Amino acid sequence: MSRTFSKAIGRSGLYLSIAGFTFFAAFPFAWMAITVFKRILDLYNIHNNPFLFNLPPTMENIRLLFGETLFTRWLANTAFVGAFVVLITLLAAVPAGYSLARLARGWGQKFGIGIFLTYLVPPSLLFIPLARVVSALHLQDRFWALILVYPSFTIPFCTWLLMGFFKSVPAELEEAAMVDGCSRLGALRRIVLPISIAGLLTVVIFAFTLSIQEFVYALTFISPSAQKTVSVGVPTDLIRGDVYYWGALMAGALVATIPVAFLYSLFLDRFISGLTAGAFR
Amino acid sequence: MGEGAWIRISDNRWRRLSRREFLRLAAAAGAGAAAAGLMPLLRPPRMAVAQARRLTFLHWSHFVPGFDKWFDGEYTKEWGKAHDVEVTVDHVPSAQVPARAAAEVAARQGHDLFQFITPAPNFEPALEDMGDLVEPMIKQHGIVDLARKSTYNPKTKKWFAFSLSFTPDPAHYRKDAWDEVGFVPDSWDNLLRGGRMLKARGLPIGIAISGCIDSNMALRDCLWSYGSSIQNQSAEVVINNKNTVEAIKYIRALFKEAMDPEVLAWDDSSNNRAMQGGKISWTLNAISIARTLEKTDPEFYPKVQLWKPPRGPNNLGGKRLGSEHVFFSYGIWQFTSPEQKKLAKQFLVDYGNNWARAFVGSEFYEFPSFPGTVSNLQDQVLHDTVAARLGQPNMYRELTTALSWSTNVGFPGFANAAEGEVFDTYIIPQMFALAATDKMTPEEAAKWAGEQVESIFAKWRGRGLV
Repeated sequence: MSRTFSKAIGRSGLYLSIAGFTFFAAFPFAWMAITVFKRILDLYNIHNNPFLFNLPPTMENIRLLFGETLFTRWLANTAFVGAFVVLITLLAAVPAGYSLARLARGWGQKFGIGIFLTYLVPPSLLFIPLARVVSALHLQDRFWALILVYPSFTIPFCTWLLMGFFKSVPAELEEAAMVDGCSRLGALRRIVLPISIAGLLTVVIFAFTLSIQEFVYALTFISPSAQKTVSVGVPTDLIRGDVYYWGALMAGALVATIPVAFLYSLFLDRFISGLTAGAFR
Repeated sequence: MGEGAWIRISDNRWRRLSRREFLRLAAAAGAGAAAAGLMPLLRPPRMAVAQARRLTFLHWSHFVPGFDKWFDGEYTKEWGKAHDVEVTVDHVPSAQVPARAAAEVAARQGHDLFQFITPAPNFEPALEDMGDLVEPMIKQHGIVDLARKSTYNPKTKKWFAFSLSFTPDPAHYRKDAWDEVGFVPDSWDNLLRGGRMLKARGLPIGIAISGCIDSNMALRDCLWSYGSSIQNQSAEVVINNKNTVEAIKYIRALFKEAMDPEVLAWDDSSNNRAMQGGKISWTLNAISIARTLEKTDPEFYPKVQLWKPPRGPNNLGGKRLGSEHVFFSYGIWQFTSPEQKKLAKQFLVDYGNNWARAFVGSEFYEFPSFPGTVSNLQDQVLHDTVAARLGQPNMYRELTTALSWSTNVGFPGFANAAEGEVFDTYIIPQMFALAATDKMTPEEAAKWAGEQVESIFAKWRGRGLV
């Protein structure tokens, strides 16, 4: 009896914790979704229940976002920049991570940490020197500037992540492939990469997420509206001095978040295994 | 695949597609469609056409969306057509203007006309002298003192920017609540006495004591009204004095007795939200609060009225001073080509002489730096059609006196680069916050601020700009 009781208590505790985490994760989305359809009067009245529609819902915020701003264009720009950055990151981080894991011997770990440290230099320090680079390449005010600059922070982290992941792949598998006639590159392509798909997906999601949320470079290198990404376009048009268009801002944040959340949920298991393998091995 | 798809392999022969072929084709079609959708993104940017002249602007996103529509879509288009110039106006959020300016200076590439929304003396070395524009405008239209002191450096004798407008910073107050307690928030003393009673009724005073622009402005108003300032007219640091200590003591009392602690974490929009949400009884702000209420809550609108910034204690001079809320000025980078400089200056002269249209377009949010550019300002402000339609014809009456109490960051001196850095590093809000939260005594807070300010002034003196 007491064993059953303690088991029930344990289960309840587990479900309560899960419910707490679920609430924590879902609350921002629920809040954004409610705010999108709220009237400004309803939102600002402190006597109103913030979780209910105290006044009839409105589509005005959606109309403002899609009708008065270039939001769809910003979404397309963001997706394009993100996809390109992911591609560049994979092209650089896979060979770099593999080399550091397999070929650099004792120096690999130190190099890996060194590369990771460059990720920690904040964009607020780097944007001024990088502005000169962007200008010299005539990329100012074009989103190609972001495609050039973003890999400077995605590659270091992803290299470090992949290095850890490649280390978790038994070297014997590659050696067996090489004994059977594979070259080093062949073993990487035929053996290591297929096994490392979880790590690669982690890198894809991570690089994409970092790219679409970046603000400082997007702000300082891009000013024409048609070239902006979501992270800069939305605050530019929907924060006017000290007046915030909360409903439309939340609509912009929600719409931009849904594809990423979907991507995460689609590959959640692989993402977690990739992240933990990369981090702890 | 059901009936499946068919493919033509010669004139009279067809075969069914295999599932794999179908998926490949579908994937290829999908990729093609996606690529077609992305083609506009892949196109090279529009290059400057040789025969057409271009002029580029960087503006903030104006508080009045209609102003941007008018300026970007009407005025500049008309001007461009008349002068055979293609005009492009780009926008950035207000808080990010300095970062964008720093990036353009670093890259030595940027917009032909850069609009600053605070005085820009720290960018002086990178900016073109605008004296040839300003001096004829002064002769024709006069200039308000705060505009002169925010765009001219007496040390280098350079007009580093060209200002057409600024935004006054009046008080917004809940007239219904203040009438009930029998006070008019006309002086800092009344603000404390009425504020105590109103806080007890759930309507505290709302002045940010935090790292935001509104806090910088409001607390400077208090400092000046108490007869103190950061610098004197000769740009000597004078902040550590007994009047500053009195101002700190006053704000500490106001914070403890008439405000909520949340003001320590406020940003620039917090007081707007608090007033619109009926949470506070008084705040200093541009007319964005009143104008927003006109559109969102006409029923609540009459309860909120405008007043002048509070007057200081009589024994300390009884001054009434309000910092400009936004200071608009155009700069032209020195690295801009001579042709573009000439074109940009031509635009500014024409725009300056037509600035009366901008005054109306900004819904009186912007006031003229050259007063003669708006000949019937008082009359227009007193006959605001929106306020009249909502039954409040006198809503903006207090703005008619704005030129008498508005002043510049750096008062009583110039808005020099050192004052700019003191502003950007929020030393004044920090000074008041340290005493309000009892981390320092008022005397210690004034001394601390004096040390900080001295080192900043020393740095800029070393660079020859102060």
